[in-house]
Amino acid sequence: MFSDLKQLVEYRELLRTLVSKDIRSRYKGSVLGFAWNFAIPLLQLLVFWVLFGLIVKMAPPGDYPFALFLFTGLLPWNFLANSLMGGAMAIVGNANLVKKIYFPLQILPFTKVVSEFISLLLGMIVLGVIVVVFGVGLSWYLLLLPVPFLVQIVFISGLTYLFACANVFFRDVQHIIGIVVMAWMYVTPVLYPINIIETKPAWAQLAVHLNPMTGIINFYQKLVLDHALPNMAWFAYSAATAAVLFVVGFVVFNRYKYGFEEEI
Amino acid sequence: MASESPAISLRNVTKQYRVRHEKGRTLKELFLRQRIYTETINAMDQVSFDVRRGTTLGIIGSNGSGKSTTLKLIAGTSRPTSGTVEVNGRVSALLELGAGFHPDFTGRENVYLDGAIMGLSKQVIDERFDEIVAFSEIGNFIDAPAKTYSSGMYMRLAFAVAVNVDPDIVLIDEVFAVGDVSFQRKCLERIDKFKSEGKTILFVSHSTDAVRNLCDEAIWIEKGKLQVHGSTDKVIDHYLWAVNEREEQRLSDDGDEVDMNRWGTRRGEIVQVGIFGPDRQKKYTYKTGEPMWVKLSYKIKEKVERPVFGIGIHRGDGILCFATNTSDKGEPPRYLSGEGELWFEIDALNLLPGDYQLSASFHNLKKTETYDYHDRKYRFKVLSGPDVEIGMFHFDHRWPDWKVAPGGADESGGFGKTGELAVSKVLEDVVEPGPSGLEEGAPPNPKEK
Repeated sequence: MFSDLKQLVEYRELLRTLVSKDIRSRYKGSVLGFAWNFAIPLLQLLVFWVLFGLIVKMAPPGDYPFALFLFTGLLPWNFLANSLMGGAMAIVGNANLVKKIYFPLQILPFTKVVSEFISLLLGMIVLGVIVVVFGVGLSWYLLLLPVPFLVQIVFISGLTYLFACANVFFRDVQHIIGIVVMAWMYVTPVLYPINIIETKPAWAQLAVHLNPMTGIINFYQKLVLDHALPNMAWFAYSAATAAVLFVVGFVVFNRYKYGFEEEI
Repeated sequence: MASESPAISLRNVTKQYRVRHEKGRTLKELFLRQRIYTETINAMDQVSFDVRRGTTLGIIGSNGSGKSTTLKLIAGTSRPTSGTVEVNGRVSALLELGAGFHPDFTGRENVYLDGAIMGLSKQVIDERFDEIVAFSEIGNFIDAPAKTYSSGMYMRLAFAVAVNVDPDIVLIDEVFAVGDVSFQRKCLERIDKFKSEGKTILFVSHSTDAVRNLCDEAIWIEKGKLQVHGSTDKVIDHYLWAVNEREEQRLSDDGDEVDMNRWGTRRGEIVQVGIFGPDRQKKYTYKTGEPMWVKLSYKIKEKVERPVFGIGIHRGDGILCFATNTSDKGEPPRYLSGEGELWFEIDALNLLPGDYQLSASFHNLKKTETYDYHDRKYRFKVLSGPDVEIGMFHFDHRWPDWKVAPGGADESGGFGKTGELAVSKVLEDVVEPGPSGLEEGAPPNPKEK
């Protein structure tokens, strides 16, 4: 495992190049180009604002519009969803490279995670502007954002390695993953505030609390919107899960990577 | 760099592939234990060989024999099922050019991308960028998206990146198939430069001629097994022998298999074609000027009228060098039936070095019916003799007014497989499409020295 990790560091230049390729190729050929990275979160916010601000009146958990609450949770959620869906294709979609050139394959899934993380950062810039516009303002708590960033990267990397590897052997993974991510979102407090589940059945509460993403998303919402620390017990659980998942995913991936070339 | 350890060492390497008759394995199969019929193929079977540093090794073998698998294992993209592959040094594979290219990116971006995938740092690519662009002859297109490139430009740029990786070990798989003649010449020159720099080179090719001109030694792989490892000439000789044996075997089996190179009404059949040296031993490699004998064995089901047998010799690229038939000896017999043998004896095979193919035909005098035609089914090779002559034919000739310096050029014997001449020879033999390999500024005649 450590030599595989070391290779990841040794090939950081390749990682950097591949990430930049991924980001630049995403909106290549479009008129707005790089601006899409900002336009998409803004448009998403606009839709939420129309839907939840004007049509369906939802009560926000704090002193800010519900659309803003949604947006804060959705940015990191999209980071997860896009990484997993793109990451599942990391090996299968790069058959040309995998079959023909030798390089540490563990770079490929991680490339996807890093490039989606950069999208998250760009989204966060938009969010920073929006919270000022909506009067929530900025606070020193935002300096703690690297903590959920790190935990989420570790968590997503572990899962992405697992899915990327599994998809090589079972192409079903790439089809099922969209559904899994959607179902998963409903047991994560992205579309609803965490406090409303206290009135729900015990199994639903359990599902939400066992979900490692709960602690991570909650961390973002607390820091950005409430300028407060989140529930640290939840977050510690998320961090521990992330660490375990990363080790499992990374080890499994590297265990099977030499068979990829034959399967794709 | 400890020079004693070989650059590449394969020990009992076996590589098995499972071949399924269904493309992907699915969860459903896994859970329902629906095991689709699979078979295991030994792409390589207990192969062992070493390549010393600085050696140029040719790998020959028919399609699917395991040549590419060998290169893949050495490149590291594939792992052996059992056995060990040891590679000491940085490998650059000129097998899969442009695998790292992205069509939407400009040539410039692709150089950096492809270079990074091959393990070059940005700094190194910065330094070599101009050289790469110059080598690729791509000019202003370097800032156009790669999708607008012609396939030749694409390959040239990819090749330019690959040769600039500064490898210790170079793997080459038929890169000559791309680009125009002048670019191919450049590639060969680059390969020669690799040689002079003492790089270890593995060269896979169907052209035994290219292998012969570039390589110090060769291996022949067939059905995943290493057949022969040794001097290039010896290995090529064995290889040609086997190829011809197989053709003969196919003939004698005479199954219903479709053979694109054989047609005719089969009222009379050529059942065997053999290429022999004058001692009546089978022989597939000749020196210019040696005798070559061909034996045709025929079998006639119903008697045929006015039969004519013919022999044709083609160069590897299909150019007909020579053809004749028995009617040049006068009226053919009125009828022929039964079985028999017919010898065709060439006193001096005045062909210059290269790959050649033999055709045999059996038809009636008016050529209104072809009984059996074997089109370029038999292969032989002419190896270079002591003199440097290029082209297709040797003519006996003199330079009556020219004085040769004492000592003579022949003793130096330096027209082997290295240096500038090797390159021009490969070009003449392999690359040059036309029948006449001669061009302005042809290689110097040794006697002019």
